[in-house]
Amino acid sequence: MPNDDARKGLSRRSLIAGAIGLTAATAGGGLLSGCSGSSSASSGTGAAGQAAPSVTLGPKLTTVQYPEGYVGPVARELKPISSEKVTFKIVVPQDVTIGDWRTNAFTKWLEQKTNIHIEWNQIGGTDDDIMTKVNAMIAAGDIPDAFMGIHFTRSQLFLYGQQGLFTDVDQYIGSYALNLQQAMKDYPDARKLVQAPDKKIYSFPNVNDCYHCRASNGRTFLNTDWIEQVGLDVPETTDEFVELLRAFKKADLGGNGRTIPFCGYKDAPLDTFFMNSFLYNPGDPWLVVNDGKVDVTFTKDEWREGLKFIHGMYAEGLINKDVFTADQDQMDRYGNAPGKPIIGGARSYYWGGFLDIDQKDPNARWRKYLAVPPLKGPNGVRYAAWNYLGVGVEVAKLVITKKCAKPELLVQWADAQMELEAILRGYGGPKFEWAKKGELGINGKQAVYGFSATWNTEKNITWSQDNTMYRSQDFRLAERVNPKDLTFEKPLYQQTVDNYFPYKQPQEMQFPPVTLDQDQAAQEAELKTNLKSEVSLSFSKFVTGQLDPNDDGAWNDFKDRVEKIGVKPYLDLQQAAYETYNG
Amino acid sequence: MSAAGTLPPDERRLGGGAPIQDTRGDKIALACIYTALGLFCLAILYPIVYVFSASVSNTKKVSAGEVWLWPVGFTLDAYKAIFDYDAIVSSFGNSVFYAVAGSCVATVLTLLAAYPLSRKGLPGKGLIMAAFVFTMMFSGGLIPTYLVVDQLGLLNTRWAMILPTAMAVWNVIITRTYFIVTIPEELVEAGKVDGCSDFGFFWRIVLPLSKPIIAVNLLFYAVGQWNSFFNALIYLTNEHLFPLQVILRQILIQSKVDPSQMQDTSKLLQMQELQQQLKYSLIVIGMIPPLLVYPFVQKHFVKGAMVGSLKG
Amino acid sequence: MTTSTEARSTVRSAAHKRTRTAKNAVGLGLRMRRNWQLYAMLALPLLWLAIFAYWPMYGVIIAFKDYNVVSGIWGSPWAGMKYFHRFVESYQFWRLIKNTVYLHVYELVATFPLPIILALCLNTIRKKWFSRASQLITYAPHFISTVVVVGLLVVLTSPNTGVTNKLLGLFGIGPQNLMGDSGMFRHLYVWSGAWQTMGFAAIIYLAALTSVPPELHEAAIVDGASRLRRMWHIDLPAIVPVAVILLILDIGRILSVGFEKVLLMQNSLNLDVAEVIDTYVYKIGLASSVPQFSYATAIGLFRSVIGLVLLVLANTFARRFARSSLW
Repeated sequence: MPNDDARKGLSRRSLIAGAIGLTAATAGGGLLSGCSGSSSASSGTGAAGQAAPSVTLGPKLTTVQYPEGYVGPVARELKPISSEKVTFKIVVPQDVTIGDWRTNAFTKWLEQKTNIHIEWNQIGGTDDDIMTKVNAMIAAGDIPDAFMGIHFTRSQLFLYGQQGLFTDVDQYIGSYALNLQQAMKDYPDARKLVQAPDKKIYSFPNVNDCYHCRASNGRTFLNTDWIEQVGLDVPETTDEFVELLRAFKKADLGGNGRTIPFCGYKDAPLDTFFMNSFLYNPGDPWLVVNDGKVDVTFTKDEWREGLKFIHGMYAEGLINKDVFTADQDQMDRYGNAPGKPIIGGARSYYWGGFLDIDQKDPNARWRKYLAVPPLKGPNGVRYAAWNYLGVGVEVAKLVITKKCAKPELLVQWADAQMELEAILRGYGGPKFEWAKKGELGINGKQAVYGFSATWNTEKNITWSQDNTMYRSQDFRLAERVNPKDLTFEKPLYQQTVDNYFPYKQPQEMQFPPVTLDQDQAAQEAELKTNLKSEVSLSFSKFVTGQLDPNDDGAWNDFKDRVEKIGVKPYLDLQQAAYETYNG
Repeated sequence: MSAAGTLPPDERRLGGGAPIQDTRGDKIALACIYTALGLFCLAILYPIVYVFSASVSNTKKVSAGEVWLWPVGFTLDAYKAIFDYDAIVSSFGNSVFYAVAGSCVATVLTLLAAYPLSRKGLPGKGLIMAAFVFTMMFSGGLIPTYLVVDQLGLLNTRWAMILPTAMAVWNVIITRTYFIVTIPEELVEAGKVDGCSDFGFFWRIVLPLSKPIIAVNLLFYAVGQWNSFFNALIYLTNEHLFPLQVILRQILIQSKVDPSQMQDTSKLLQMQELQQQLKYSLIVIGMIPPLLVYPFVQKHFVKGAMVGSLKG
Repeated sequence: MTTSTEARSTVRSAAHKRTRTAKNAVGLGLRMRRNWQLYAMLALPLLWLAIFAYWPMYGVIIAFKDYNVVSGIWGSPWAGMKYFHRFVESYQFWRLIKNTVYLHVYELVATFPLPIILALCLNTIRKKWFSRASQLITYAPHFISTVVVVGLLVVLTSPNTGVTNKLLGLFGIGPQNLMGDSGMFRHLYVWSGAWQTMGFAAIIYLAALTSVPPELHEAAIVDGASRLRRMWHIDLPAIVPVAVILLILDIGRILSVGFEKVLLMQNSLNLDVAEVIDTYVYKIGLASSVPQFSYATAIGLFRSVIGLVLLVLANTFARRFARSSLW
């Protein structure tokens, strides 16, 4: 069981991890300025140099258990950030689960602890609606002290930051954000991921190291009961996979000819799983890095081989006919078919993507579906598209604007949310418990905390992950597992460790999250949209047989079309951005 | 206006005699019409019944596809859940307010604009019409309109929901056409001869004759307000002012977000369960008020409103 | 016996002659002063128009600039016709125009007559309870949100379990994936739209029909006219002016097609016919790294100009041949 290796490439597992436990405790207390008291933290302007923090962290809570080698947020006493009550205006997305931000349980708790009052401005609607409104606000000069939970892209952060609208928080981290400093030490690649091309950091970084998320884009499930019933094993190669599906079909395990050997729907792309048996393919926007050079996957011969393979399955009726048109509701209907299950497998992010998850029932249908490893293709290619860089460190959770008169206070406020108890309350609500010694977490080590079974369904108690937190991998895996109440987190984690991690592609091959400047963004907008349309369209046509992947003419026409749209300028653009990211 | 003027032509007796007989061709035509209408209504009723049924069915059965026409596993949980969310309840009230207030304001503006433009011989009428129509084709766009609303100090107020889209030129044009068709020129002349001023004529003669078009305007504007979410999204940041559609939109559409965008499966699961639970009941409460309102509007589609005025 | 329209038009042309000669005799200023009350009525709506429609129009400049929200409209640099060129030379330009126009015209031709026919039918049937009930039912689908309608379409056309495929099966045709069939997209879009909006659109015509004096029907019955003839000669002419106006307005919007429904109905198989201007603008505008306001505005302006030209043409045509027009 590759427990140690089971960490993704970002954190350094080594001896340092053990030492971190010590430094975290001493960083606050002993380091400088003799400020062990709770004097107003904002007055630390004297030693404003990077090395000298102006604030101190409170003492650790002693009752909390940590596993050995734990890297992550620790529980401390939170001290008020300001002696008089300070108010900041923050724009946030409206969310039915958060309820009224003003009366929200976490809001109240945090305010009471930090003495910082927030005036909330809520924006309703979908992500796109929210972005439209935010842009309108900026255009009108109607700017709050900060934006929280608004999904600015890196390019937007850079563009608006450069123009002075957003504050560079880097200058405050050293002095005021000790928890963040620690987090950035634990995750050394974090700086590269959050800094803009001008080396400034325009939003307060957020760490959400979700292990299983790294493989989610290509995850695929198969029904283990069915595999048993047809007397086969979990397939290792593409040929075995087809054998299995044929067996499903022949045995008609769903009854009445309703069996669907493999099921997909329009929002679950097939290429993220199947193509990785032919070449490394992370999915839309299909960019990879080969020896420092940015390239696309959809013009390659290997892609064509993959098309032939998938087309073969479709033509034999092994994939549902409406794989490109069914919507989520239709997919749910297939997955939840009453009586017996009718689908043998599905391409989905997690179980909830194709059926209802009943976490209380030990015999629930979802437990029969296993996330299977990628298949080995005819040329021995076998990748699990692993997301090293897009998962873990996030930008834009909290953006402080130029309008904020005291950014150092907001920085401390955000930093306070990186403390363990604040994280638990902000993310799970007030009904959490500290784990006792001996209780185990998802990764089988000592657990740190536990939630009640219904934490996910109550309203108005959390901030629904709209704020910055430090959820390291160890933290996430230290959630107590209740043997009587088996949630899906553990199996998801375990199956990712067992079946996807071993096949991950090297980190250098992944195209990182880059930042574009305004001109690049304008160019990219059109190229990316047109390329995506053409590639999706052609992919579905090749798979369904409207275009024949075996026909050289059709394939070359496709390559000509994407060439005409502008693959080359697109790649040039991304190459430039990639080099900026690295340089 | 005679009482007989309220009945369709064929239900009256000519000279008190026997009821009018349809020709054979007519009978066939009528039969066809009834059948076609009946089928069409059934075709429409099916999805409506489905939505109602799904809203009172067990959500697991709904997502398993077991609900086809009648409810399966009857339960009112979906409606009870609505009351758990304060946001939904208050937004319903807001929507009602905006619909009523908005449609009144808009109808007044529309009538004021449409009547003068329907009068022949008003100098500059063509020019003014063109000015109206031009705004249907050209618009400054989102940002400038937002800036204007901001500069007027309307941001985050109820007026922001009512004023920026108060008058739809389309409605003005329809209303104007109605006036042209139903207010003949000699009636205007008669009014002038009687010494009636334009205001007086409008108030005392035109408006009472215009019940159908007033009803249509009120209905269309109210429906427009009821269905709209855009103004709320753009101009409001106070969740106590949000209308129902904003919440609906968030729950129904947002949960269709691409899962790879939402990193955390726990949040994904939460959104999905929320959507499943509330989807149909929200749609139903979104549908009911307009349906309830319509019969009141229907009452005003009274025929023969012109009869008495001409004779007089 | 003359019909209402003929009666009205003779009256109208007589009045028209009077006013025309009257116009020539009296000066413009005097005429304007005589009508001051009408202008007073127009004052409020015109004020509204000036504030909420004309004042923001300066924003079309955005189409000619490299607009940046922080720099603002005046601070952003000029871009000239750059975005127009970009749109016209874009890979999908002709496809977008074709898809949008085709869809719009198909929708127009298919769904324009239907509310009229529906209104005429509802108006003519004897049993009022049936008419009232039908009106209410046919008006209801307008309020079912698009998300549900498209969801229902998916269910009904599902290759495995959908009703349509069961019907096709009766004719011996194997299960088809209708939603993924490019050829079917337009049909599905238009006819589901017709189903949804027919009843609501008929309301205007019903309102127009209330202006028909019952005596005309009575007189026609006495003359022995059948129901259908009465519909044709009496009811229909009452609707024509409204219908013509609506038609003109719709022609002006030929490059617009309902955005949300198309977006929901799009899938990777029908993109070649289902990508219209609005969905394209959405994808470029919002789904990109930095919102492309300039580009979106340029495309919008392009559409408006073309729409205006067509509108003016349609109006001139209507004025000459249908005697009902916008101006």
